[in-house]
Amino acid sequence: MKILIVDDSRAIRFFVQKSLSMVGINESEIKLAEDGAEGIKILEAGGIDILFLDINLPKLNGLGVVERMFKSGDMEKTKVVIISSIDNKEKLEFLKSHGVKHFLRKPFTPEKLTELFLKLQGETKQ
Amino acid sequence: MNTEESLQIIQKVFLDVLEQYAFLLLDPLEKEPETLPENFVQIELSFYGAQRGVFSMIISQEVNNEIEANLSGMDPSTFSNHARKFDGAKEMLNIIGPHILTDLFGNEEGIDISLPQQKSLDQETWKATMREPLKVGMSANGTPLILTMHIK
Repeated sequence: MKILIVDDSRAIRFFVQKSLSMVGINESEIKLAEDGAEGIKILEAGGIDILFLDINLPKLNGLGVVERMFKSGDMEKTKVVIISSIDNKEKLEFLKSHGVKHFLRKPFTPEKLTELFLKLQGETKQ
Repeated sequence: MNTEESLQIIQKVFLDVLEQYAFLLLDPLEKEPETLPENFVQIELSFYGAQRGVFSMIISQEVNNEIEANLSGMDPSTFSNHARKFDGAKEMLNIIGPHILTDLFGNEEGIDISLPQQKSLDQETWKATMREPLKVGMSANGTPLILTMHIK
């Protein structure tokens, strides 16, 4: 299982990482990026099963990341979870129309995150 | 919505996010400092589109470190230079701002937000901030923590 966390907040990257460690995910299975451009580079290298993606990011925002993944066909290979406090209808519709199915609105608890993660992990293994 | 109703929403979101997410217990600020205390900075988050304005949080290094430690589970003694970037405070404003916008204006209006920015804080800015009508002043372990919303 390979996971990518893209968030410009170091505290949030640690928060997600720490939450995933509660369900047995090792640090070696997790890659971290602090902006959308860095996230795209890691995604293009391939092998990411689950992506936790913020929307409000430097360099390339979350909508831009999803748009590129959609065009390249990566949405078929990687399950995307949007982690953001943004609740704007237009943005959410854009994300849904580009294949995003999972949203965790900040603030969320480690339990909410791990519950969704375990569900996605189960689907990935099938 | 009048100023009083808006203030109630701002205060509720501010308290809920800081208490539930950053485990920071806040009390009402009994007396605002007349002059700018040391080691405080201003974090700003602009919004634009159907509504325009700026959120501003005035926060001390100490409270920022507490937020960051509680959020990440990291030991504050490892923060060193990183804490000067006020990452914890920026993330809090990044969460608080969109929640307030949704509660005040709904989620159908096209409102975008900037990335949170750290600004230097001088006496003039401090005094201007204290005059903002949409201002919530709280105390975290006796240290002031101020949030304002300025709608243009």
